Amino acid sequence: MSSYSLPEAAPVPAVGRRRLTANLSWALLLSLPLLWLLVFLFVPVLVVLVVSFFQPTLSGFEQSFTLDNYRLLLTSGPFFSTLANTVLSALITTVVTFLAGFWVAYYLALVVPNLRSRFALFIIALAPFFTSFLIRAIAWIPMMGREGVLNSALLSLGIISAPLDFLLFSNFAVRVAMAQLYMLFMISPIFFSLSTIDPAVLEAARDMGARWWNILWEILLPLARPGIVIGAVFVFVLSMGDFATVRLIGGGASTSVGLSIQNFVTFMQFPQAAAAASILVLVTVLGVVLLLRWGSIGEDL
Amino acid sequence: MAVLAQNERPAEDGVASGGQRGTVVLRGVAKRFGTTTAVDHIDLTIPGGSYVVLLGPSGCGKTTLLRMIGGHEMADAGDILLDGVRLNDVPAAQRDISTVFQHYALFPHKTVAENVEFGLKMRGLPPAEREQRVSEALEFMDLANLRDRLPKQLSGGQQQRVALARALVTQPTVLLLDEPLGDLDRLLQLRMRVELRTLQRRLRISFIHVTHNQEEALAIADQIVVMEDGQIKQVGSPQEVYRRPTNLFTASFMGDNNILAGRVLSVNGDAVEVACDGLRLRANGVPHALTVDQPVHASIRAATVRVRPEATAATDLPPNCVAARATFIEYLGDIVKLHCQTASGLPLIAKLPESDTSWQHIREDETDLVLYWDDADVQLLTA
Amino acid sequence: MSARGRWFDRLLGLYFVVILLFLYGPILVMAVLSFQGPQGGMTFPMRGFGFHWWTRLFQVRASELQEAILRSLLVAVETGVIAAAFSVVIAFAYRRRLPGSSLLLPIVLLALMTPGILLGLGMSLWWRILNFQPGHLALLGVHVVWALPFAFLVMIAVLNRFDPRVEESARDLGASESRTFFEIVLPIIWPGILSAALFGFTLSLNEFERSVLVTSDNTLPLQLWAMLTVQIIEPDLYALGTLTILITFVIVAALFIPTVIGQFRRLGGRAEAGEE
Repeated sequence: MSSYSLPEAAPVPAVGRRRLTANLSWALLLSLPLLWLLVFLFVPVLVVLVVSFFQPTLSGFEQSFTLDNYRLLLTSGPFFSTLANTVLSALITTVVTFLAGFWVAYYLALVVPNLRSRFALFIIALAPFFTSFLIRAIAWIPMMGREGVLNSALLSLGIISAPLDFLLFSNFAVRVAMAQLYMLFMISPIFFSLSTIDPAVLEAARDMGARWWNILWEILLPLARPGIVIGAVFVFVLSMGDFATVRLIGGGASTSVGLSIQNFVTFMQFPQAAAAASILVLVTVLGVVLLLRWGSIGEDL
Repeated sequence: MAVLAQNERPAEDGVASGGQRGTVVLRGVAKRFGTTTAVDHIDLTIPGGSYVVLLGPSGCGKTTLLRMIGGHEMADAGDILLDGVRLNDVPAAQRDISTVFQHYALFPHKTVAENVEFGLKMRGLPPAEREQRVSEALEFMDLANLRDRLPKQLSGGQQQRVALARALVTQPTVLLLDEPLGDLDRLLQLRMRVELRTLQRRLRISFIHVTHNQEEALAIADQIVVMEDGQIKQVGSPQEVYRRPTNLFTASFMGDNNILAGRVLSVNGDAVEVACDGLRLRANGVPHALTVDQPVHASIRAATVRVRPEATAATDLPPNCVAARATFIEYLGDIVKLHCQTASGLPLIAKLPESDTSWQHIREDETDLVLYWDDADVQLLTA
Repeated sequence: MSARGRWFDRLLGLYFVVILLFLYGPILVMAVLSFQGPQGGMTFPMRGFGFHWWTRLFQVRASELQEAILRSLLVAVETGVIAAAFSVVIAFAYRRRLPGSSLLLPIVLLALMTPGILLGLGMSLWWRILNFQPGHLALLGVHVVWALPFAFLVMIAVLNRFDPRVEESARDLGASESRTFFEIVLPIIWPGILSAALFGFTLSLNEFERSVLVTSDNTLPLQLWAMLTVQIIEPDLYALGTLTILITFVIVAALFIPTVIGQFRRLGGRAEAGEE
């Protein structure tokens, strides 16, 4: 009784072959964007690293190896303080956007009751991100100036008696503006990770006697950690590379490595620019690695 | 062992549920969501140390009722009492009640031990005591070797045991279970319902369990509370609810009942005759007063319908007998279900044990049959 | 919820409004200042109120900006189209789990994370080494690199909503791979592709940091930068800023409102069905 007369199964090899050709054509298609990324992302980054070891000439560089660019930068006090200021600004911006942005994400994901208003408010908070970065930086000028909105408001409220000078063209101004410009990169990932939390989990915690700060510390922060780390990495990387905000809001009073790079390029000192950029990348990557390790994001992925 | 509940006593103690803690009383409890009434002024007493199942279709308000007892939903009206103390304004955390949530709601980033420890930590117990009680609870639920796993590394059954350990470690007097078996496959469901029942017997605290699964309710409950549209339709032991449904909803929801609409022909003491579409029924022991010509529904459990092959004129038959043919014979393993149609076109179902071989001689749409049942198996329903 | 919970929630609501003010405040102030009177400066107080600077923007600046605007639009359209097409390919490869596709996400995120100034510098050096003229292609190249991650994330979100059984049933009914894609998949995900393209368009239109070292022919943001850093700035710049922000908001609204409503219908419907 071993002769079954069930219909023959479809011939497997044919299906397999079809799938293979399909995968092959996808792979061919995929080579286009990958080629694009190679030419316009990976090679340029490599070129920067390579050129940083080239000999500068008056109008560019010649292809002979030297460590002078790095030696010059690393032995110059101003570059060091610029680098330190860049890192400090990036760290402050990261911490401030986290402290300020977390509660926005919390409000959106956990307090706003229905989905329609949740998404609507999220989009409203997100919309400025799509507008020109440059214009948003410009928009800070009338806010921060000696006669700007902030000073006028503080004066008329009687909080200060004379306009504050540090509001524009200062490190303070740059950091406030950067926090505003980059905050959405912090809010969005935290919002998404908080949104995936099952409300029943919070209810269970409450059932077991957890107060809101217990829930925050024991449940929300650990579960939002991937989002927090991603947001922190975003904001840190963006503020490390910033130069437009520094130039526009900081005036001459603030510096950043990005701005130095731009200045080097203006004076056609490409190898120095490349060396500065390489140091910037190195420090940024170091910061990101530390952030990832601190967030130990790997253990959950 | 002997650790999870302070009121666990040796089995030989054997006292009836009378003086036990964990008695929940609901008085006129109501809840509305917008314009829909989820729970409509419910009165119910759940004796301490009993296993009560709230049974009903989805949307009947059973989960809302459970959540109000647990303190996750505020009652709009009425009182909720636990051992005589009004709970309405007591926050969930301070009630002596724990919940096993639907889909368990385990903390995904905490290990099994950390999940179980959480409630003790929130109560501010010292670490040494927490550790001891967690270990005991894990031992009790047979989870000791899984203590450092994360929830996603556990099977459904293990997750459920963690949820139980987490809820029981704080020694509640009432345990609420919201569809606790819903996520498990059927074989595990069968095993876990025995385990739940055994656990409740051992702990001797009240379990209030919500489900939409009739069989689960029958298997597990001391008392079944049947709910529909925010109201309680019937409360009783599994046998009562299954054998003696008091209303149309319970009769149809419990399944396997033949329900026929008809009118009262005659009333003679507690023996009542009813006419349903050319078929005469006789019921005795009818609990409520009926009058002639009153419309009623009759419910006849499929398992009480018996079958004999016989060709007869329909008019010759006494009450509770009807001529029919099987339209479809459904073989279900331990039982065989005959889907029949009477001469007047009424569908009736008879369930026979598989070992009763008489069904083997019946041929679909061919063999003339007589279906018959006892007077006592006819339930007359006015509601 | 206890009374304290509600009190805390309200405080958070208030805080949200404060943050919105922080995010939108400068933009609003700029918009108001663009209506300065002719004697007005770059900050308050307003000296009169009128369309002086707006008129100046369209009459005097327009010729100065025209070329930059056209160049920006061209690059933005190209970026949108290329980024959308690439994102479809990458997202499908990612979803079909082709060999090596697990690397796609890190690669794409790398594109997002590379500092703009670094990419711009690299591009300009790379083109210099190749002896290419800096210009359109290099600009388009970095813009696509910038827009691609966002388009990709949009496509992933769209494909997550797309039931793979539809595709399987088409194949089951005998459709070839390419016919399945063009006759079944493409019509279903078309709106998603469009939003990926619009995303790319908006990002490219406003891109500055990557562009500044790459091209000598100014796009609109580059022209703005030149005006800001070289010339004495006047409130007509605010008018220009307000205008571009308005245009961007219109695009964002067009992008999101249908998605949000769709999302709401889908999730809302499910939430209601799942009650109790």
